[in-house]
Amino acid sequence: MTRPTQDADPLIAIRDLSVSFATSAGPAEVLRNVTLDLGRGRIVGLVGESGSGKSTLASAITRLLPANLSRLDGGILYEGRDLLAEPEAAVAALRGSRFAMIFQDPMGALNPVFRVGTQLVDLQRAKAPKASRRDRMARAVAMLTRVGIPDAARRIRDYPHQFSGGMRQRIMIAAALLCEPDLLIADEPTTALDPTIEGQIVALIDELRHGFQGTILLISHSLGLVSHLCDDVAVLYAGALVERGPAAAVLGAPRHPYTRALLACEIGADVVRRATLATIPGDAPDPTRLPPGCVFAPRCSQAIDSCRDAVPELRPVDGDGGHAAACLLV
Amino acid sequence: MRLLRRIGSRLATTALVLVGAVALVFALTLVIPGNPAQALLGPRATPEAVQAFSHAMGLDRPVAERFALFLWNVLRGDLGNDVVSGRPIVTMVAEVLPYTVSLTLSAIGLAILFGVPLGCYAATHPGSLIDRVAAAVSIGFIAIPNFVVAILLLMIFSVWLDWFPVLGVSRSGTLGDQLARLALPALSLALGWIGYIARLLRASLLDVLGEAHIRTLRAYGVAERVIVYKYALKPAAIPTVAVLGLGVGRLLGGAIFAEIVFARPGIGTLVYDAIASRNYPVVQACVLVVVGLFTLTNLLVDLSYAWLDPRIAKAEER
Repeated sequence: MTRPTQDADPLIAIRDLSVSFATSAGPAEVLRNVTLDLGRGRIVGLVGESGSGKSTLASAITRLLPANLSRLDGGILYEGRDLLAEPEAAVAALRGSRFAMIFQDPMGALNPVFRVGTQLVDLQRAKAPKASRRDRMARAVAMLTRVGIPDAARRIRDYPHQFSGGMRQRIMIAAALLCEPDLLIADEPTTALDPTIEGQIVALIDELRHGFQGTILLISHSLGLVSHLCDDVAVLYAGALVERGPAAAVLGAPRHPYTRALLACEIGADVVRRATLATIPGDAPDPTRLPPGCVFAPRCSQAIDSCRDAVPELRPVDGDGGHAAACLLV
Repeated sequence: MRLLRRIGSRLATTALVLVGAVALVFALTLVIPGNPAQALLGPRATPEAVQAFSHAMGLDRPVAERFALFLWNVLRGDLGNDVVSGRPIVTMVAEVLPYTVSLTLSAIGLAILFGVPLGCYAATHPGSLIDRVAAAVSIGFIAIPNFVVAILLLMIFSVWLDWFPVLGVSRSGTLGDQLARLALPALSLALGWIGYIARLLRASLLDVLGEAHIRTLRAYGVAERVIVYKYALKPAAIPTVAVLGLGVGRLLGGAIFAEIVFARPGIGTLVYDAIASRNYPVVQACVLVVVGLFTLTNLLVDLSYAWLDPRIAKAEER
């Protein structure tokens, strides 16, 4: 199945998004001037190290940001509306009906003291407020069968602790698909799973995406997973979008030094016999004390003096193919 | 089937506790200094009268035989006779028990009715004015003993404002009259518990509301009302239910004071009068009944855990 390439009319257009949190060490700038389009029907991979702001970006779209939020600037455009300017209730109405989420930890994402069926019925409330409990239960059984839960009609009466981690993540995927969302945000959906189970869940997502009409935002720090599943890739470093574009271009011909370094760190089959694994020297900067200029400059092997003067803008690197990088050297 | 097995094993434990309680209550007669018959009849009783009374009560028989007889009688539902009036104690207890049970249940009901919404509100609005006022008032009422609260309520609402009848129960009156006479005693017992439940529930709700499964519900646009009162309240209720189960013991103790202050008939007044007149078979019976009620409540609390948290039921099966 072919998918449309870069979209002139994206589902979600993130414009100059900046998010800061109040901490005891001062304001932490978790996202800075992020501009990104999530194309209709595309799978967009969002990669970056822990703390790079990946999950915060997802939370900003659904407006489920923590209470210590101190700054929220820019815009998130969806269907001609700016989600950041809308009243809280208007955005809340989109959750579960237009937006759905799959979380990293399938052990904690389900309530331990309610039956799986009860929870799947309530999670559909926003999508199908008028449907009867029986209808929603029937839809849940059908969806659980589709995501590979054997004997779903009986198992739906079980509690979450009676399922394995992989099965629970299947339940969460079923919950997300039941909402038939425009945007499905999968926040590290396989990180907490065993490698063999991870493979099964990746295969399931791969299989399900063909019948899925909406956009998927896949947050991951696994470049392998992203290159396998995604149409587009966006790379975040310390709250700044450093490179974005079609997956083949960004991962096949990375232009930003950070993306290249990330790819070099990936543990592939070919590096097993290498004496030492590649690492990026230094640590990610403290979000309360970001360096001036390019945030990656202090760790960048190619940095020149002017890198520390101004924050580089995201510039197209291949004409209008959609591939762009924020580096003075490209 | 699983539930029946759970109830069976809990009932066995309960039976053991009750036999232990019977043994302790029986030991009461042994620890009373000197001859219980002498203590009962008073200093001016003739030796012959004491002897005759001891014989009538079976006090001249060996301890083991007396205990076996006592246990057997309790099992048959025979708690002996009142030494003053000669009436069967079972009848006396049965007459006043409904008053104590209705008082205790009303107090628990009031505590839940006001404590749970207050706790939920405080947990969803931490730091709000109502949360802070509730915290201060709760701690006040937890700290003040029941009988002081009882006397204050009596002063304010019955004597000054004249909203409620002062004393007693209405044995033959209408339901409304009976409820009016129940209101103040029940409130005096419940006030401390309203605050206690609210504080306890607030703390465990705040914990639960921070958990990942609540984030899932929010991300799917589930109404806050459903999140708090359904998905957060059930897991948060376990510590509160546990404390309430133990609290029944304290409530029954508090009921004694409330019954005395408000001159209500009940187990409390019965045991108070019995102690005053050294009517030890009645004291024994009352203690047994209170222990029985307490054990029964905790049996129910234990069984409710399995419903509140299915993981507990599973862990016990192993």
